[in-house]
Amino acid sequence: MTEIFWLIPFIPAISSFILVIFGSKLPRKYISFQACFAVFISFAITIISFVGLMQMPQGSSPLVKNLFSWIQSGSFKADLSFQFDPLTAVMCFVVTGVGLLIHIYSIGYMAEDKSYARFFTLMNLFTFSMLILVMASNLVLMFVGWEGVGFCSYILIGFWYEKHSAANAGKKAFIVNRIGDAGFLLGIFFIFIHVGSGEFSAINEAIAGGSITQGIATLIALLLFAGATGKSAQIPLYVWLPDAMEGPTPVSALIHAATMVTAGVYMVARMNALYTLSGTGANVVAIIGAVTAIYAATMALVQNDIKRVLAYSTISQIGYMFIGCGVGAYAAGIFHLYTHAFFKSLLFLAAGSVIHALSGELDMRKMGGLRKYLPITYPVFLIGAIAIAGVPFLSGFFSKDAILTSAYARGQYGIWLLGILGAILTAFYMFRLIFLTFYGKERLEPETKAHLHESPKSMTIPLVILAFFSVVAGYIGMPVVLGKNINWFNSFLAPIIHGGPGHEAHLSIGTEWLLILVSVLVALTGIYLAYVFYLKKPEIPKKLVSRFPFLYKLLYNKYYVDEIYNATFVNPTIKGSKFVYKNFDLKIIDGAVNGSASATGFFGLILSRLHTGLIKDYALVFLLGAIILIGYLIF
Amino acid sequence: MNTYTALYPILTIVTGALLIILLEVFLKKEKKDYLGFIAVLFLLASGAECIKFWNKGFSYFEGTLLLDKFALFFFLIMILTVIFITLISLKYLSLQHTDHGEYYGLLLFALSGMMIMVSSRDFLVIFLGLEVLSMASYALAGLKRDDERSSEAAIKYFLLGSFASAFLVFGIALLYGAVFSTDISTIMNFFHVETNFSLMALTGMAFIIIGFGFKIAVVPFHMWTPDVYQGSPTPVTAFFSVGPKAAGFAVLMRIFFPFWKEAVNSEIFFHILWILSVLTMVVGNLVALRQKNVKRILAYSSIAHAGYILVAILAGDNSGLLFYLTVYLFMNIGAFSAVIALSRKGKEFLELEDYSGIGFRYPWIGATFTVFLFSLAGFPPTGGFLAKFYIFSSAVHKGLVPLVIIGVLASLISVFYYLRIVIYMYMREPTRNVVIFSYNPALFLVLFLCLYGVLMLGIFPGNILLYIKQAVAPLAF
Repeated sequence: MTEIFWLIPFIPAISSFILVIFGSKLPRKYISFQACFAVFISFAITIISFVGLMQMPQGSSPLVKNLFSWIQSGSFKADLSFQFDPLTAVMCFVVTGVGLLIHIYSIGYMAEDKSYARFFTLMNLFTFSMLILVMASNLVLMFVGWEGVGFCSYILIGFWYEKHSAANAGKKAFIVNRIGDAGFLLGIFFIFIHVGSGEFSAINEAIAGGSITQGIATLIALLLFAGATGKSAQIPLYVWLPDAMEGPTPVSALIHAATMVTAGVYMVARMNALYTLSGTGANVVAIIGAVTAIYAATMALVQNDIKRVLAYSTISQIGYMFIGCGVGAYAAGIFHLYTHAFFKSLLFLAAGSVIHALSGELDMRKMGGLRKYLPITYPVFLIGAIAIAGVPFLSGFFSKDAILTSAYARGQYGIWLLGILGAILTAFYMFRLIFLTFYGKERLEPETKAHLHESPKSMTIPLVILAFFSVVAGYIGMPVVLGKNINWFNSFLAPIIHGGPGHEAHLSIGTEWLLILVSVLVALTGIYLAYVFYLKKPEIPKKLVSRFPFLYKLLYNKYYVDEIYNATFVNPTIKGSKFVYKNFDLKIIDGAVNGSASATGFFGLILSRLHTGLIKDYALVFLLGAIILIGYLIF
Repeated sequence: MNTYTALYPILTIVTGALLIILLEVFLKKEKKDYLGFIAVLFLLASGAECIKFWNKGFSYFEGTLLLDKFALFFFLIMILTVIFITLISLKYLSLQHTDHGEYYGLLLFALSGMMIMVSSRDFLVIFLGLEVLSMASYALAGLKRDDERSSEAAIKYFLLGSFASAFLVFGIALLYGAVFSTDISTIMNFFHVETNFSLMALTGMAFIIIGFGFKIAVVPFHMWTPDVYQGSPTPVTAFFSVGPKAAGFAVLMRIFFPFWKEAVNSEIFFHILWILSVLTMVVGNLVALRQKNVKRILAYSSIAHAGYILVAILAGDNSGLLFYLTVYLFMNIGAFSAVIALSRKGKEFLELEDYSGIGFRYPWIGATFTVFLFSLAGFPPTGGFLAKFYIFSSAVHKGLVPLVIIGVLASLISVFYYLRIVIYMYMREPTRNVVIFSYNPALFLVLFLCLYGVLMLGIFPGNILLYIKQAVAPLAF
């Protein structure tokens, strides 16, 4: 049964195709049913394949299904082939499992929208592309998925394209991603030059065989990582993700929290042999991850838009995943990716439920005291927040702790410190959000209060399921101090991690306990501070703002990075393009084109005059042609 | 397999043709469709025999009947063409009051002629096939008996066609006089070995090039094409633009491909074909710019495409040529099918003006037609792009850079008139009230199959190339 794993991506593709063609004619109920059902089938096949994978003997080669040779040109070859190994299995579970819940949630959330069919078509198309990305067995096909999800992200951010800001946000996401993708593509080219194939197995063999030098490995690693910074919203290309919140909330949950934005992490983990070989490349990943983690967290502190807080939080959490990969703890990075998918999509969907309840209100300054109105949304939101804050016994605690412990164990104390600081900030901004939204005075507009209601079942049931997993998902990867072989997740992923230095963390039991204690303290401190700031003494934040106006403005305006980018890159490009357009394109190119076009048309006219319609003329031309031809042959 | 079973593919077609003509007498006017279905049955049977023969037989009747993979590949292309043409004709004939049952018989006779042409190495047999094809073609062109243009097309085709046939048969006679053989390989061997050709041999060869140049509509022997294409019933035009051309090129391939292998003495023919190719590409595309009738645009476009295919002959890229013909089949028949789809009882919509706003009024037809036009213009990811790409890149490898530059510029010009149709369909307000007869399942099946073919060949060319490689192997000797 395991051989059918290659069907996983195609089920949503077929569903999407049907919806493209007949979507406008089908009843709404059927559309959502089909879209959800397709993802469900993929999920079911994932389970079947996973069971098959578990039954395979240790050390057997990964499952690869080569459908057919897609491109063959000279020595360049790319197959349409898929693979299913532990890493792919984890990603497929995240994409289809979380994706299914988000699809179901969308039934309620998008119920009023006029472009219902278009929405589900694109969600299915996205699921297809994302599955191609994680299941591809070579870089070229992976790039197809990589661009496919980029396209879906662009078009779903701009889903409400009548809204100017949404259309612009989509455009921004697309262009910023292009910059990273250029690097990614160059990386693929270099791999083809030095390995001669894009198959992951061939790349790993080449690295194991020593045919790639460390310098080349670093170059390729950095180029590929450039693509990852774009897709996974890391410094310096993170600017698109906050704006991407213009899209519908299920999109933010699926694409901009659980799946697409983690593609960069997946890619680094997939290419782990390369990053381990390079060393420098891995360090860059870790440093960028750590800096992004704390940098994005600071911006989340002062945002008032509920979704933007979560967006910055996503950037910061992906930073943690990159710390894990960068320090060589790939399993820990993927583990965080996996737990994050649950609690962050939970947070987004719960935020969507709040927004839905408040008829589209996003500003937390106009919320407050909502906990009694939203009896289901509130507790699940709280669970999500506790999970992300890193309070023990919830999933986020285990995965964040795994990353930070590995960083410490590998001697990356600076990165560990940044991670710890980021953890305080995480706990703080999450509980600031909780307190501002659900506690305190009601600051609702009278209009919205009149319509206040808890969300329908199709929205709350996925929330409860996600909340359940946000609690328990971490128990498959518990820290080693709690018992030997307790970290099932690490051993499950072990086959895809190609041995590098410091694969096993060596810390004394005491140190490990100490680190865990520090994490716990840090989380609780953050929560307590938020409690003091926003519930007990709400005047403190205002005082701080008046005390440090510069700092507040800097954070509130997101370090002015958008403005800086505009001034240094965007505007000069636009101005330069305008200049070239006016002086070169309009005058020289258009002139040449118009001139040659009218000349061509003139010749066409003359030649068409030859076709008179008279047989005698035709025969004459024929004969003249024949005479010239024979004459040429003979003389 | 003995000598006579080798005739099965052709015999099946001829039997079908005779049966149809016989049955025609007994069928009522509104039942003529049945004949089309009978034709399709015979075509499928013949196709199945071709597939069965794929790995067998070779040469029969002392080399006058060759059933090599090359011939079989062409058989299959042509059978597919005629199946498509039959299917798109079913409704068209009754809508345009041309429902004469012998139509399907004539199509099958034309097909048998083409099959004879591609499966022989003997000029006399080839000429025989050509005449079978031509006779059927003249009748097909004049099928709309009460339409002046159709009769005019038939007469023009007949007069100029006889003119060309005379050249061809005279050429064969002259060559026989010089070489004492009508066998292609013997003749071409003669041109290899000899250093000083007699006037007779050269003139003979020139006449043969002229004769086939007429069939594949190479400038300056193309003058008949636009008028005949415009006047003939549209499915017949679609047939003319694909079938006889493929047959003509098959013969040219048999003549020239083995010849290019050794460079001796080949320059002189090379130069001639070079000039013909350039003329065909340039004139075909330039004149198409000024046309206002879609059928005429497609006529000139098919002239231009013959020019591109000549590039493949010059480059010696035999698999590229077969690939081009395969793609051309799908995209050209597809384009004509879209034109046929836009018709109603007693009326066809052929002026560019008629096409304004069609893309929104009939979105399916508009969209598929657009794909075919993009493919004809050579845009990825359609088959048309890859086909041109293969031909031009192998020409560059051969060092034919100036020819490729001219070819690319010519196809650049072609983008204008192809996209002009698209612009009319999508960017002009409708000015005329175009209402079509839209219940035509067989036609839509063909449209769909052509669309599928054009896209599959453009995206996954691998499989068909595999068979093409096998098909061209016999040319290598």
